[in-house]
Amino acid sequence: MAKKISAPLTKEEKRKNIVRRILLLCLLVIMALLFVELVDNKYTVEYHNIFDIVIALLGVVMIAEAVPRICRHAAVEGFSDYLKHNKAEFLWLIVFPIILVCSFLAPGMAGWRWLVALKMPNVFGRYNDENVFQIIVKIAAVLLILIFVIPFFNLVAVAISKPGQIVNLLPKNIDWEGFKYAVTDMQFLRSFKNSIFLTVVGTIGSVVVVSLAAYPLSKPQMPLKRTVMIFFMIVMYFGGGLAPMIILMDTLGLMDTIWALIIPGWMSVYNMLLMKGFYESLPPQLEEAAKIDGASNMYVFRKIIIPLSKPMVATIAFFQVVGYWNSYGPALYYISTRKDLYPVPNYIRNFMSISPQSMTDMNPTLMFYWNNVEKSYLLLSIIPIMCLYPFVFRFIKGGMATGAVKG
Amino acid sequence: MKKQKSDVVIKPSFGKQMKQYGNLFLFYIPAIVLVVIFSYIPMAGIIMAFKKNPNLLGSSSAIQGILDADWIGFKNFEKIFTDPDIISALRNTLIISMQKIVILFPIPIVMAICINEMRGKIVKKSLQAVMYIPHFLSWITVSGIFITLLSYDTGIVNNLMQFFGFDRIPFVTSNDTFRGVLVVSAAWAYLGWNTIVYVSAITALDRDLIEAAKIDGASKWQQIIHVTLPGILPTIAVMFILRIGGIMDAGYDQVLAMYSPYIKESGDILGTYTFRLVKEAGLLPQYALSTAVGLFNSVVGLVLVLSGNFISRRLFKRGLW
Repeated sequence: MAKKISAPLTKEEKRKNIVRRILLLCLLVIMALLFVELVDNKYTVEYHNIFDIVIALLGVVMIAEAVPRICRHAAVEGFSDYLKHNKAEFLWLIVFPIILVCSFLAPGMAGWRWLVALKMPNVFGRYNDENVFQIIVKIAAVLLILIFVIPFFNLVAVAISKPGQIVNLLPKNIDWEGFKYAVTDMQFLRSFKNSIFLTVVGTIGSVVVVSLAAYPLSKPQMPLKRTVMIFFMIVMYFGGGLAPMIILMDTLGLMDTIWALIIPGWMSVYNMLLMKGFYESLPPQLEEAAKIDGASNMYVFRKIIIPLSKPMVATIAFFQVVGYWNSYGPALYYISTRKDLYPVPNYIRNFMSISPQSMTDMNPTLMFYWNNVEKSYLLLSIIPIMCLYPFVFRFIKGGMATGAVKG
Repeated sequence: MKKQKSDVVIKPSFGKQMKQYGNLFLFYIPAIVLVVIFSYIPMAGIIMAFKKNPNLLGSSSAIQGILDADWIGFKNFEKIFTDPDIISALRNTLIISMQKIVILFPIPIVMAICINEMRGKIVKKSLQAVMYIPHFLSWITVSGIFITLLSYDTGIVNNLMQFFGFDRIPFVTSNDTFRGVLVVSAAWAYLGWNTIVYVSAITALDRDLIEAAKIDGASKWQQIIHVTLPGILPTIAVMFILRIGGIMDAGYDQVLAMYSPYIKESGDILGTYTFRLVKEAGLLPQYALSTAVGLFNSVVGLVLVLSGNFISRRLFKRGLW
């Protein structure tokens, strides 16, 4: 952390400090008032005139500060020097007074007053104080955290509150019936089972295929390496599209089987490139030593490479788990009649597309708790990912991030 | 040391290489089989784009049906520029993509800089812990969450708007707001994840430069504008070029998850259009037209990716390959 060097401030510096604090205050108050007017336009009608006058006054203060300073600067260093560093402020100085006047004459121009933001670089630039920056950033961060978290709270609240009331963040009149229905719904549990099956089989197959194929590609002296590489890379950027795939699946007899959701996902060129990059980063000495001792390629791969590449295999496996668990496209394309093979996302999608009114012979509990059941399904579909997330969070911050950049 | 040695060694002959590494070709087999079946054979299906719609039910096999269909040249492609539905889908694709780029591209950069400069651990760590979560959810889940939030009768957003004296809006089923919903939900799902690239780029920067700027009396703002931003400019440029290359994909999975007939006018993109051509219930599948539209989409996308890659290799010595 930066050390505070305490030297007595000269009078000049103290004056500058006060001026820039006033400026910051003016700017923030203007922006806050504009924001209030924007958001709360029905309740603030009576204050509108006061707000407008305050904004205009603060604007005048800011302009009154800027003009003499610019003149002084221009006299000492030349005007072009000022313009070089403060283009935005100069633009603000030209535009803002015009808009202030216009917004009083024509209320339609009021939105343009947001151009006061052009002044921001200048105000913040003169502020050498870390603390202001930190406070602003932290407020923004807390808001962001809320944005990321509130949807989940809302989902939980809606899922376990009695239907027919307005629920925001906290559950009201807690009622577990809908959730209970979702947990005990045999069809949903079957889709859960399908999802687990296809995720496990898909991930294992994918890790095997990808880690095998990437190994020879990582050898610098492998013959035909470039050709094979191009052969794989083409697939990454070009494909036949949906219609040929559906006809192909039909011809192969995979339509309406769970294998149609698993096998096409086994080979992922992107993961193969990640794996190849990882193999290339392993020290070649290990392998050479084993080769000198007469070990074959297979032996080296089995006994040296596989144990060393556990972290990368874990990363790729996680990518695949997420991919298989979340994908809903394949089931939409390749499963048309057998709804009992639906994985979780498709089950939920199907459920959301039905309107409760259209059902005739429906369970009255389900009818009443329709909304709760739907949200409970959504929550249940998140749970497995959430269980894995803490373990993976470390990977995200470490190796995976750099892998993602390299592509 | 190793490097010098391998520079001197003459590359062994092809036969010798084969003898040494030949058995490693076995490792390719599963991958190559899968790629041939599930990627290269469908590519051969592209010939459908230049033929009449194959009559699959009336012929002995699908391949026979495709081969038997009459050649019609570029008729299917002409439709792309004459059929009002396809033109509207093309327009929507470009509009949604552009909105996403303009609005969502700069935010992760700002977020990465702020995260990097933030002092204190609690806020920083908790932000990083929550912001990656949405990326791991299915689009079905994300769209379910947003439908809950934005629901006309009970959604929290509409409750808030009513509280502030606005009218309730049916966000997800209205043509005026659907694109906004797409952008906002894409933001929620991907912003956190997209900061990773920039955070690691900033971490790789030379701290000494920033320290030097600090000692010279640069304010926080000046440090960011004059040191951090120029430092990560190559990363930003490469990401931007790649993003432009992906402009033909307006987020197919996302749109399909939120799609409903109400918002066809504003939300039907090329991806969902090709999907509906072959899978819409009660209609004869239009395989030929669907293939043609899909081919058009992926060729334009490919050209954009290739030229983007070419530019970024030329200017920044960095690219996809």
